[in-house]
Amino acid sequence: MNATTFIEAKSAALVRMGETVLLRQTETARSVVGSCAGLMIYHRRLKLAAVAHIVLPEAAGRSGSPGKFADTAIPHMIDLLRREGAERVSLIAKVAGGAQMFGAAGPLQIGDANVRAVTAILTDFGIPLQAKSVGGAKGRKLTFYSDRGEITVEVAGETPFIL
Amino acid sequence: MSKRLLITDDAVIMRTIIADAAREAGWDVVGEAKNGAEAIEHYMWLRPDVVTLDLVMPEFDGMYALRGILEFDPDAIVLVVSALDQKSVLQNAFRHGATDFLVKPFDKPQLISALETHWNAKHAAVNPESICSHLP
Amino acid sequence: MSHNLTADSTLRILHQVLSTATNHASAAMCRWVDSVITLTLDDVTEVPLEDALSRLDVGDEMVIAVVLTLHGNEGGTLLLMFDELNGRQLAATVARRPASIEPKWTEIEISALNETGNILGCAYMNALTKLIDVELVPSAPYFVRDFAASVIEQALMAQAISMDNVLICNTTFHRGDQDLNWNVIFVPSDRLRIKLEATVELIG
Repeated sequence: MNATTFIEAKSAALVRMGETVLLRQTETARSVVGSCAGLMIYHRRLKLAAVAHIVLPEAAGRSGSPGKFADTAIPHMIDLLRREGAERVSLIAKVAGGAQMFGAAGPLQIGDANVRAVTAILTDFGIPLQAKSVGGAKGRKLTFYSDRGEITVEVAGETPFIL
Repeated sequence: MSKRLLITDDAVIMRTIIADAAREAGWDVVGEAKNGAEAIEHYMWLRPDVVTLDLVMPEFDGMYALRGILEFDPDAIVLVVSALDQKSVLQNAFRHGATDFLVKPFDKPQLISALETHWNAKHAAVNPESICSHLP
Repeated sequence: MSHNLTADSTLRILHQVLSTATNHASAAMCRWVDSVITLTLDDVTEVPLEDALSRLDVGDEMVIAVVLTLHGNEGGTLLLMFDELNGRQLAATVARRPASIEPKWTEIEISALNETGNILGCAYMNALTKLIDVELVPSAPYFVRDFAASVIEQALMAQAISMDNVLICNTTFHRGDQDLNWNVIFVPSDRLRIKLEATVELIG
């Protein structure tokens, strides 16, 4: 597991595929996802959020950045938040993404598998999934706000909304 | 004598290109099909002289149509018109009874020449005098 | 399975092989749009998944893309991408009518681009299949209008599912001296990539 992929966000840091960032106070991050899942786990009172751009449901023994796989990203995010003083019982999650971009032509139902893995693993850790915008055939442009615990979601050609 | 053509392609642009070229050359475009199942249905009740057939189409593909049409009419003239030019694909199409194969993109004269050649051959086979009567 | 880095020498030969396929696609495009269009294979590169989008210089801009998915054991994804204006102009050329200014794409415009993707992608695959002796039959083309990063992210899954570094082939287009803002991005699946590399290593 490689801790160097943890980046301290300044303002609107871009969270690339497989990366994890920690946001404090008014810091924000952004990401563009298709089949990937943009996951935010946050602590409302501490205004602290961990954000991951999850690519695949499970690591299955692969090395690489922990943020890349749902089953390594979530424990990693919990650990980052814990080190900042956020206890697991106070954490809340929101997720957006997991589209099937190419319709029936697509080779893999990765989007759906990502969302199912994230949901199941959050349940295992007892973290409530407060809101989600998942599935469909369109990509999503996401901005994560740690102070408000919100994600703005923009689907191409539609009015952005707050999750 | 009218030369009746059924066009099969999922792409409306390709159906339009083939139909325009065929009509210019005096063909009667009697029907257009968007997939393999439609091609079989249209063939059964339109009984065209020649069918053009795309191979890759959603749901029911060209090979499905080829089998269905040839089962209904073993003498059907089916001109496969596809961008795929791969040995195994061609072999498979011919094995299932395709008459000829035209690779996209094609020039209009190539298309018309293929249509005419096979129409003439079929017509000569059915009615040999019709060809002989044109001979000097 | 995690794939090791591909040797530079293999990438160089792969570049030559894919250039041949690109030339076939060039020839098909010239016939299809009845104009001298040149496709140039700019880049055959292997990058960590995280760096793929920055390497291709894409972000949250909107793109028009025609997606061809190769099914079977040796699969992959081929994207033909444009900005809105270039996509509109190409559709108009193919459909032989003036470029539309309506926001909504018409059925004939979408069909014109889809068929262009089909012809180009098949020409590319026809050339590759002569080399590696497998059938490479793409799906019916699929039209997408979305964020560039989302589209490419989905295409990369063909390899990311089992590999940490992705092999990407990026092609640009020119008409005479003029650069066209069209791109073809080919992401062979993990298995097709292994097959391609094994074949070129034999050639090398």
